[in-house]
Amino acid sequence: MKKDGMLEKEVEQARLYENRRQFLSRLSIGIGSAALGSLLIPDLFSGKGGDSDGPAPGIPHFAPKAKRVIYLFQSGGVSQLESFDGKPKLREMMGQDLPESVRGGQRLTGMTAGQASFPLVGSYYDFAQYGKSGAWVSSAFPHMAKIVDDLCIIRSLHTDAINHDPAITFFQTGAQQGNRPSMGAWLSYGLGSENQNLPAFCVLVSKGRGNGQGVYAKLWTNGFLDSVHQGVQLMGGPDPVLYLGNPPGTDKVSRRKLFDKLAELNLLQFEAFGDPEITAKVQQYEMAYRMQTSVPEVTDLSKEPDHIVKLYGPDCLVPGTYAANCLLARKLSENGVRFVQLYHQGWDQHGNLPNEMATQAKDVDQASAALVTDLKQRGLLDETLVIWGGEFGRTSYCQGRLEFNNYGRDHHPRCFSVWMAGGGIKPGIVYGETDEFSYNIVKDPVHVHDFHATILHQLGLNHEKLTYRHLGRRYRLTDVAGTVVKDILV
Amino acid sequence: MKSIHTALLNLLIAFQVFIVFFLLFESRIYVPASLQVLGRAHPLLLHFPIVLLVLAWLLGCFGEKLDMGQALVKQLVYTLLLLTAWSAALTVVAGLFLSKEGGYEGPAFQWHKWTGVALCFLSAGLLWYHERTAVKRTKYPNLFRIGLSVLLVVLMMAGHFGAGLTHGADYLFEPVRGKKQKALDIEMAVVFPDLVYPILEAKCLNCHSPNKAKGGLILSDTTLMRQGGDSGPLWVSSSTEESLLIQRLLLDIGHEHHMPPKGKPQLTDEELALVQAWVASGADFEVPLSSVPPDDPIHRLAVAVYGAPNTEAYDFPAADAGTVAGLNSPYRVVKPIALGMPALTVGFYGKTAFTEQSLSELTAVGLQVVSMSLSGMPLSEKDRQTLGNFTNLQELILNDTPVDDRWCETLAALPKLRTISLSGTKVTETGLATLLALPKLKQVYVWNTQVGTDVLERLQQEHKNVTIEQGYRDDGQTILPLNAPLIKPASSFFEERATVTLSHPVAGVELRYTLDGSEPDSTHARLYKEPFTIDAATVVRVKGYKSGWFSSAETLKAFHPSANRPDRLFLLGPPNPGYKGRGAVTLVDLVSGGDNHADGKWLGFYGEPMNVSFHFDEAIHIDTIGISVKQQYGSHIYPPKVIQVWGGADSIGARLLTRVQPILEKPEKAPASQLVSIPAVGDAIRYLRLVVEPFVPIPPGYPAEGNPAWIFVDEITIN
Repeated sequence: MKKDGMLEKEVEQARLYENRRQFLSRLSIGIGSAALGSLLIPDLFSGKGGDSDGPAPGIPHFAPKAKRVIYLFQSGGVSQLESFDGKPKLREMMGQDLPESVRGGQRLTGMTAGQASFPLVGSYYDFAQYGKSGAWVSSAFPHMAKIVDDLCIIRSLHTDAINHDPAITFFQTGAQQGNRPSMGAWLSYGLGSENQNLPAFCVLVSKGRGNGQGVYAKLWTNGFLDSVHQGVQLMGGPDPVLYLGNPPGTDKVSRRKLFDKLAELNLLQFEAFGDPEITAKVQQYEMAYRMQTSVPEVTDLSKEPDHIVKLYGPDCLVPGTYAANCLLARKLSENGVRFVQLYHQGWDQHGNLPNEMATQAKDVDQASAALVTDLKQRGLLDETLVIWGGEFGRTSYCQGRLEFNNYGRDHHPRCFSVWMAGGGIKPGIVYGETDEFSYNIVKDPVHVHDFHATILHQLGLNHEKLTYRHLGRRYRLTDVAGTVVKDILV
Repeated sequence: MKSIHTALLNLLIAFQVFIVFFLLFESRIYVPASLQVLGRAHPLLLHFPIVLLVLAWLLGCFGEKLDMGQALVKQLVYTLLLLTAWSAALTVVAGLFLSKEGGYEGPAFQWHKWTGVALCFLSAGLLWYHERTAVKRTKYPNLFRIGLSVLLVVLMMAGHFGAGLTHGADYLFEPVRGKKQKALDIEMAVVFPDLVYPILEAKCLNCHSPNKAKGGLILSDTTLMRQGGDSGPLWVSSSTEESLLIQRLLLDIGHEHHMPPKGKPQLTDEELALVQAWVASGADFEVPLSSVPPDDPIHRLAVAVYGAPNTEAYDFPAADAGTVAGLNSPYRVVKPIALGMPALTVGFYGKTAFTEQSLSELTAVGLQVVSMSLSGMPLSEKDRQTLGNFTNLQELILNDTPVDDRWCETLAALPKLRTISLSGTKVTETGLATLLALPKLKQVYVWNTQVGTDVLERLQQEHKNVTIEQGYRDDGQTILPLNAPLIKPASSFFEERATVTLSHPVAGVELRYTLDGSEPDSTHARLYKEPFTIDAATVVRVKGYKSGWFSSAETLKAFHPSANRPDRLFLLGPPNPGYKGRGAVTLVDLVSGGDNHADGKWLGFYGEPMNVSFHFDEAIHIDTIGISVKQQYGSHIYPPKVIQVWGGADSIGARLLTRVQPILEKPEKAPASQLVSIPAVGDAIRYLRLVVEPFVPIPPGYPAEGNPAWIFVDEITIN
């Protein structure tokens, strides 16, 4: 039997031993967790600190091919079956039902869900092959067919949304729900404006004569980015930017003094509250002041020479038309506006498609081709990325009345066509293939996220690195997806 | 213990005899399959002599420093040495069996083999020496220690060469030496040595080199590659299905013949596609990349595997960041092309802000400017001289500037120029010819210049590696129709007189118009020179004409006077809440409603009559009343069914002046809006009331039949 004294020593030793054991075991668990962490989070220990959450540097991440973008957005959903994706099989199978195997459970919109049958309808327009790539273009777009060697036609674009608002929001902001920054806002954030006297992001809207859906400010919003990045809509008509001119009775000198004093007051407020909106506002005033000279210079269409008017078509001198917007887009882009977005409404042909398609195509065909040609002849096409397309395609089956010259098509998200020109995109190719019904994609699908990633890539931005921290996580245009489509790049 | 030692010793001697025998008759020996298994155990067995020898060395050299009995140390050293020798012998035997499998011929292998054999025999020798001399002394003699050290060195050499056989010759220092991947020069690349061979070098040569040729295949030499290996040649024709190389590469990774073997670094998808593309194109060892047709996937794969070709290294230092920042202004932007690059791109905006110093201030960063846009700027002679300082300039845009042929001479001295845009300048063919001499020039844009089409074609033929872009030339062949002219004012209604202005957006268009409702043409109709006035109901029709264009579509507008304006008016029944405009006033505000009936200029009534009363302070005489209504049958908007006009001195004494039923046009013929004119004669009227009744229901044969109709009215004229 041991005495207490000896027990004490034993106890003491036991306690130390315990501590040692505990220390070692905890140490091993700790090191083990750190090791596990570094496996799961690859640059946990690299000391790089992840992506910078601060403002983007305003310089591309790597040498860009394109400096500017002109996006000719055709709102309403252009029918690929009457434009760039000709399918003779549909003419052969006119009136027959769409096979269930092809449809594969694609959800229907509320407009056609009630239809008893889904009869296929062939295109009213004939298709022919053009250019070195032998691209198929319909007879509704003769001018675009002539410049097919400058275009990269992507037929395998697909999206998730089936109705206009989510689909167009998805295209513009990278998410179907709104209030995320739009593409132009991201570019303005990432690269800034080339020309300090014009906004980095301009929006031009034209109404088509077909069945139209509205476009609204949510599509060119700055979302959670600084409000300097929002799109500036230029109106058709004598006053392209509203309220830009000096009010009667004031002149430039007094305006300058006004802005200076206003800036001083705003700065005091900023020092008190630190609200970034204040500095944004001061910047906006400054830019507005400079825009008073630069905008009239750029938007004055009256001095365009005759051969330009012939190239775009005489409508280019009527403010508010698509042709005028194209000409304006070229002038804005030439003067350093980073992102010019055009909207042409009226492509939502649920009925009366052949007629409406003709008028819509007539509106846009010559002017879009002219824009590409005009940029090319000025040596600007290589550094300007021109995009043309809608938010989704149209179904191979008919909606509503079915006659060979009067039919309609419903929305179709699974495949549609878009073309890109310039900006380091390979010209004269056709990318992607759809099946013989133009219902499913057979080769090289391009999702909207991939599309965005490619656009950002051409502007020298890594789409995964252009982020902004908001509500606790980093957001980017491509959200959590998107791979650059390397096959269409030069 | 002693017996074990003796047994081991005897076995050792037996092994060593066997080894000697094997070495002497190596070429005639055939190893049966069961013994090949032992051969494969060589990588396992070799670890034992390593550890045992290290322990023996440690104890032998430093054993006396230990706190153990020296006898124990000596016993340990003896046992360890014995085991080393024994296991080394076994390892060597296994190694010899393994080497008979074939594929090991190179110098590295020879080194490994002989150092291994040396290890075995030397360790046995040292063992004998230990027994002979070392045991009897208290300390080990120095010779013994030296022997142990030598043995260790031999072991390390054997190990090094062995690892080299398994992993590749420079395996040890590879991480530090870095990947010496030279940037691929796309223009000069030859397909096999620059594109395909590096893949083989990285992923295949470890086992298919002269040192170690598994399957008898050596990939480091093109002749041997053509011969192939034991299983046959690597390719027969350009069919990738029949090519043994491609077959092995494409096998499922679990398959035993899949190459590279499982566990070794695999080829990436792009590398695989590149090798396939090379075999498919004929497996030529000498063809350069530039000869391959442009649509062959090899080009894209080359870029995918080796990186983009124009990640150029700029050979000038970066400019000072402060200087660059200082040169930026709202009218001149100077920025690096990308993060971390020394090359700068410059843009000028605002031609009014362009001064003499604008370009010359940039000479501070003259070496770094790689791309510049001077489009639209008023350049001067001084600027021409300054431009010569930008020797690294690659892209230059000079659209719409006063640049001429003398500038081309200055530009021809910039050696790195690749793209020049001279659209809208005064450059002629002499200047262009000077520019085409530039060595790196790839693109020239000369739209809207003096250079003629035939000259351009000739120059393009002479300089096939430069793209000369001439752009759209108006050859006068395309004739477009003019768009429709515009008529102002926008409203169709006026009180007493209206001034009509006709215009056309295109300059120089002749406008011919009529006022009598006839169709205008280019000879008989009036020529518009200045705005004119009308004071009665008129239909203005106008068309535009210009030479070189087709005549425009016609614009038609009807103007209606409304001479008598009421002093007060009331709506005796409210309009539909969605279309209440500005109330009753909308009907007499002389403003026409537009195409959109919801624009606030129309009053809408649904299924109910419109009841409006007008009050005049002074009695008037009326002749006609006009009601301007909208017609859009598809949207259920119809003209009125019945219109009653009541008039009198006041509301009580009012009597029915007239009652009309407007004509209901067929849907195809109905215009979008019309003025229903009602002849209603009355004298001394101070109170007027209109009751306008809609179609309830819409008659059969018309769209939306059976439903109540809408009425939309934007103006009522009283004359």
